Amino acid sequence: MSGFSASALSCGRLDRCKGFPIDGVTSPRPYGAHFVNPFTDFRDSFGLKPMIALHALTASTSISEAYLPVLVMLVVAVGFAVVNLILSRVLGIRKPNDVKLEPYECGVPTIGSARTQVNVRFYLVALLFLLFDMEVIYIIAWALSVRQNAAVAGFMPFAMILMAVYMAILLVGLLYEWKKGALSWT
Amino acid sequence: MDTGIAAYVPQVAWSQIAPFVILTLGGLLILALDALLDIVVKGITARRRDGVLTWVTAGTMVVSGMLFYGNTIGTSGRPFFEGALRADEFGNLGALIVLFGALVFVAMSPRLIRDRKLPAGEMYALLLFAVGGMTLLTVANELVTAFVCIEILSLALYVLTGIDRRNPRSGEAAFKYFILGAFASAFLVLGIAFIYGATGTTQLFGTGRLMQQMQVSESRIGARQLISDKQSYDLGLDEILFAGERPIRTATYETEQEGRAIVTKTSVETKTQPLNPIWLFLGFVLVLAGLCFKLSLAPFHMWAPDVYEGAPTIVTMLIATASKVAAFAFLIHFVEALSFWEHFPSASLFLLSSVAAVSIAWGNLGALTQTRMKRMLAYSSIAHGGYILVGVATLVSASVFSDPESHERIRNAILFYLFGYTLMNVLAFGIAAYLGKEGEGEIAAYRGLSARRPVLAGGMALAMISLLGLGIPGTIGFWGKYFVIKEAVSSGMTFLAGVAFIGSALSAYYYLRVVVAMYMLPAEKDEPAAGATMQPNTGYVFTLGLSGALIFFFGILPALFWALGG
Repeated sequence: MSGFSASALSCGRLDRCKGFPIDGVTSPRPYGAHFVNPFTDFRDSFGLKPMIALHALTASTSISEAYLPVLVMLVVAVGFAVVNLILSRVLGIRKPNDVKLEPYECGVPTIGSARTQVNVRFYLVALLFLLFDMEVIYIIAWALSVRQNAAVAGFMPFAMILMAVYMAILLVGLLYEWKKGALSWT
Repeated sequence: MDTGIAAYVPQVAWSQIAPFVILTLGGLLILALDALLDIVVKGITARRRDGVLTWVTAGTMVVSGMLFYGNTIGTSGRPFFEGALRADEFGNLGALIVLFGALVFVAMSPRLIRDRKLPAGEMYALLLFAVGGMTLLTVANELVTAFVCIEILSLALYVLTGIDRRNPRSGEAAFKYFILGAFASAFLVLGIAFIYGATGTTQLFGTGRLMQQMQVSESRIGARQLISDKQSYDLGLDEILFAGERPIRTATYETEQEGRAIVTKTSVETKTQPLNPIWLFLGFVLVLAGLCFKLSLAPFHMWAPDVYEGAPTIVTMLIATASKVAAFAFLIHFVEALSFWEHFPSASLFLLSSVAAVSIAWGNLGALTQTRMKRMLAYSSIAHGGYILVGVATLVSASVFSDPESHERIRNAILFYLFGYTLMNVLAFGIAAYLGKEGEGEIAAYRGLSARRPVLAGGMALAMISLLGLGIPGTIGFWGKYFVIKEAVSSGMTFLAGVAFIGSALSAYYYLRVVVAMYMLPAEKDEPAAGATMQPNTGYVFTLGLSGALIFFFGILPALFWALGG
């Protein structure tokens, strides 16, 4: 994505570049322009338009062709690592000694066992945190949907009733864990 | 960005989803009562509070069951709730069987709660949530909905398995069940993803509009012409598989210059693409693997003996009966939807048959060497899953198109088997739990039971003979096996029928061993006097008597079962 600041920097006029970049990429000149300015013309290289162009290219082709670049990328990534490992193995000189096994700028030698017991109450806290963390995810999705569809007839009461039911279920859960003493540390 | 999908307010068929809503609300009510009852009613004793919770749970289930029965009478077999659910007669009756198993659980639980000092509120709330998941699973018409239902029921069952916290074996069982169950869920969800990738929909049965239009030309070519102007998500798996092609929506983006701004224009067109059978088959195999775990069928049965033995006995009963009935109902709906794919029988019959045959062989051979009652019943339940899967394989071989009448008959046979299986296991596990430590442990402890407790021994003998099935008519187990094997033979699945027959003959050894121990062997001298600590509640005795009576009743008049379905 071409960031907002990058657009603002390279735009001639600031007002054309307002808004979230995804809403519509405004560029001073379209593709196939008469000359190439390496400092401005490639700023969209990571932007929406190349993605759209890529999508338009791939949408009409089959799925396997569309994912071919991914496969090439995978092969290159794995190949790079493997080739480097083999090269260092073949070309490298190995003289092992004890000093090389000591931690150097990677911390200090450990004292005692690294396995310590964690109080079981932390698990309860983590569990409750997960529960109430997850519910926020759903509430955000709900809120976005409500904003988008507020104009649809009958949507607002429906969405509100849904959220009320959801909150009521959560409330019962909260009451339960409160009464059962899950919220008190001692 | 305009996605082309307009938001709308879904129509909610309240009368159809009322049974599930009531179950869930009941679970929440139990949680609230458990937390707040001693604030509202000052000085309530623990025993009274547990009593209130028991009655609320039972009442919720009875109301829900009545609504289910009402829905069964007037069922249309059409999808509702945005296509996520579809209540045909099979699904609704399956849900009723699930509710029966759960009600038996409620009737038997007060004694367990008292004896082992278990938290009643947690147990009943979890039970109601599990039953809500199970009943929804029996009518699920959408793969993701089914996955969520399976997760709801599984998570509740994991906790119920480990609810006897003072017993380390219970915790061990819960841990094993949870780890392996989570693994199986991964299979299931990956299979759903493959099926979605291959077909573009997760809905099993479509609304049937396409099928209605196809009355004009009932051919796959006609279906293809009709499918080309639809979207994948408007169609069910049945319609897409019948046509053999899926609609693909391709969006083309064009950028144009308008004045000084660049405008992106989207144009959408729908084409059709032939299905990729490999992904579809892979999806089917993975979903089947996930379901096989839940059903403890052969290659995925490893957890069953340990979990069945470690869990409190009535929880074992719930796992063996209700959750299996629900998962089988979903498996059958899933397989029925896939049957619309013309290559489905040739692709899947070998797999289904081999799972069935291996389950029967492994279950029966494993049970032969067991000396403990609950482990023996676990292996027996693996074998019974195999017998039911024989029915499912027969169902696939008799496609909905070529032979709708025998298709209906096979479905009925499977449903009858599931009902009988539930009754027999309720009776066997119920009596084992009734006998307490004596009944849940070694089979040798049953020696001489007929002299000490003649009624219980008689009930256990009835359960064992009914589980044995073939050989002694007059029990529901006999007719269940008879119907399934008869349908298998008349559909030409003679090999599977033979395997079921031999397996059934093998099972005589370990079922009748219990009967022999009870009636023909003398009690061991140092056996503690049974029944000294027993305080059975009325509901317990009533449900045991009811199951025994029903095993006899439908064993003599099996045809009356269909009168219940309306």
